[in-house]
Amino acid sequence: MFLTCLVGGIVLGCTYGMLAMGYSLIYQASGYMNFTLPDLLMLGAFLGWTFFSKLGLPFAVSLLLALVLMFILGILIERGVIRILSNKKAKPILVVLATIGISIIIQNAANLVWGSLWKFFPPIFKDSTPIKVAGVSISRENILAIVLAFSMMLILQLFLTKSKFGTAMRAAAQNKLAASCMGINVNLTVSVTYGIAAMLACLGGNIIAPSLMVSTSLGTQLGTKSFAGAVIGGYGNLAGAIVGSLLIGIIETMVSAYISSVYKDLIIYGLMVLVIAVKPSGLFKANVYGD
Amino acid sequence: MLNIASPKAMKSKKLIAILLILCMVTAFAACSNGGKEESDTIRIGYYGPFTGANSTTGVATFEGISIAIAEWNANGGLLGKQIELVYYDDAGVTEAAIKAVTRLIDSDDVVAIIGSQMSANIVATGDMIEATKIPQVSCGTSATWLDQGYTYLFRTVPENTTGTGSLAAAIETVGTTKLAVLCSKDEASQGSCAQTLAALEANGKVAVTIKTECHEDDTDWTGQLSSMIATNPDGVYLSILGEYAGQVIKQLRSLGYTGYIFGHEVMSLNEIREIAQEGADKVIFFSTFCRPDTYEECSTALETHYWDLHKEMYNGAIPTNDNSYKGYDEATILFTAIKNANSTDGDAIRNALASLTGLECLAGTADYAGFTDGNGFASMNIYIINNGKIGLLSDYLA
Repeated sequence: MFLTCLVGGIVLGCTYGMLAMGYSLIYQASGYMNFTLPDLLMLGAFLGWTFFSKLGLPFAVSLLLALVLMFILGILIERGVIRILSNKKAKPILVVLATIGISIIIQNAANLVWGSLWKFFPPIFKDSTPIKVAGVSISRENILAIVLAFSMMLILQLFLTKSKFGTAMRAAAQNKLAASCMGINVNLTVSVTYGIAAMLACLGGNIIAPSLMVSTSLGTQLGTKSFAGAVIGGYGNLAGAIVGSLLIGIIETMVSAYISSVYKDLIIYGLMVLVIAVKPSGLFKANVYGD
Repeated sequence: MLNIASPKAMKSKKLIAILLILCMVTAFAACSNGGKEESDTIRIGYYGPFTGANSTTGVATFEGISIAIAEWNANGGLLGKQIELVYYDDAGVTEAAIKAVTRLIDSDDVVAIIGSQMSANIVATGDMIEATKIPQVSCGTSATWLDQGYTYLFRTVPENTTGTGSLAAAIETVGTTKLAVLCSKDEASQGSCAQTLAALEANGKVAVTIKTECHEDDTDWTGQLSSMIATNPDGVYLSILGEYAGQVIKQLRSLGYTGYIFGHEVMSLNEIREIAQEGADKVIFFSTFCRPDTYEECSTALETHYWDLHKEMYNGAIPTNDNSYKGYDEATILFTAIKNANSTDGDAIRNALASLTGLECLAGTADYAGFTDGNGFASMNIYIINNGKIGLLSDYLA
């Protein structure tokens, strides 16, 4: 039972992790909290469902198309709203409110386009027999979810640390003025960060969609726990976002199995409040106090 | 210090005073209208979940109501007038349901209301319905909302106690002796679960190995299901909402459980078979009716007639699920009562509903005169999913 719950917790944590990484990336790059991500996850899942289920494209192609479209949307949100507010030196709270507004617009737009009924995401694999690993039955979709999530985390880490553009992104995140003086296009790096965050949300949506169904409330269901994962890991720290989210997923599953599902939210959010109160920098010592 | 207003300020105050007086006069004029204006339509209200976790049921119910209205209007309407539906989305939230009913009664002037299928929301509106004497018909199956002694509330499907007793018998019939239970925290699931387990306990043949709970906003059930499987049950009882029942069954099967799964009428939703696929086999549940997969499988003339109407109105599409049937029955029962009452007066409609008998519905024959508590139907069937098809358990066991 322990191993089964552990695997279940990791799958759940991977989905939370996609959103949590997005939260942290954007905070690191722009210093803003972005509440559009849960609804970008929902939108990404709807796009994936449309390509895969309605248009009959292969899952890999559907996912790729959805990722590209979401990347573009992320950039458009940054250029069309966030940058305008930022250029006008708007207070951070206004930017946060703007992201909440965009989030509501996305939800309503999705409701208009796809309706309020839940959409069934067809099985990705024709053979639905679970695979036995060390005596634990794991569904093929769950294995794919773990592989996709960890691959994305690895690719992102390599991109940020090994590529020239990734290094520029990190430099811009640390000190915009200095990076600008060094010839780095700060606006571009921030835009790309929003694009990547939207892509991560989209991936999270497509990972969870075969297990759940696609609906306009999909993002809301996952958003708050992802946020808790990012906070526990250290808000603004990528590795922290992943570890924090995995921790949340595993705690959620283990508490349901060994104590009672009644207490799982109490324990998760209690832990989040405790971390904020005792160790605001989280597990990975994110810079939360500013300069 | 003496405060003397300037002539300009005095002028502004006068203007504001005049405007306020005008507002009051307009308001009094509106209030003293001497009663309702004679309308050229009969307004019926509906509230239900068009959005949120229960949207599938709300939208499908609306579908059935719309078909019934189109049918009645095409046949000359009701009491010589066309029927007009005023509806609100309550998103399955109790507060929103109360707001919707308040608006339907106070602003929209409806003569009767078709209520949500969510029992908790129906019972929350009960006092208002009684106070205003605007009859409400609803298809929530939980016994609770008719146990309150309300006299203007009517149920258009059988009460779930008629199903839970039969389900308990079915659990024993298929040979289950060790039952693991997952129950959702909502009022309807809790109520049905308690009734089924009480019936099992009374017979003493089935032992409950574990009873665990889940919530409407859960996205993963690995923890609960693993702890259930660890007790090595030969039957699993899922007293949960339909919107995620398919996912729970899928996850339960992926964790290696192969035995019987027992549940409520929500298991008749076609989404459950779509999601869980072959995992939905061996699911046993009670339900008033089950929407067949094809036109040829319609079992009564009325069902065939309803499918014809549905296809005509929705460009050849078949009914979404059996909630569509419920909506059609609700509207048909209410409109027949209004027709029998030959009046739109609340008391007259209420009395006509209470004495309605012998009306053929998709759920069977309505007989409100046979009950004293607002119920009109006596029994539910027990179904099983076998090879992806829903059939009667009695036929399967024969």
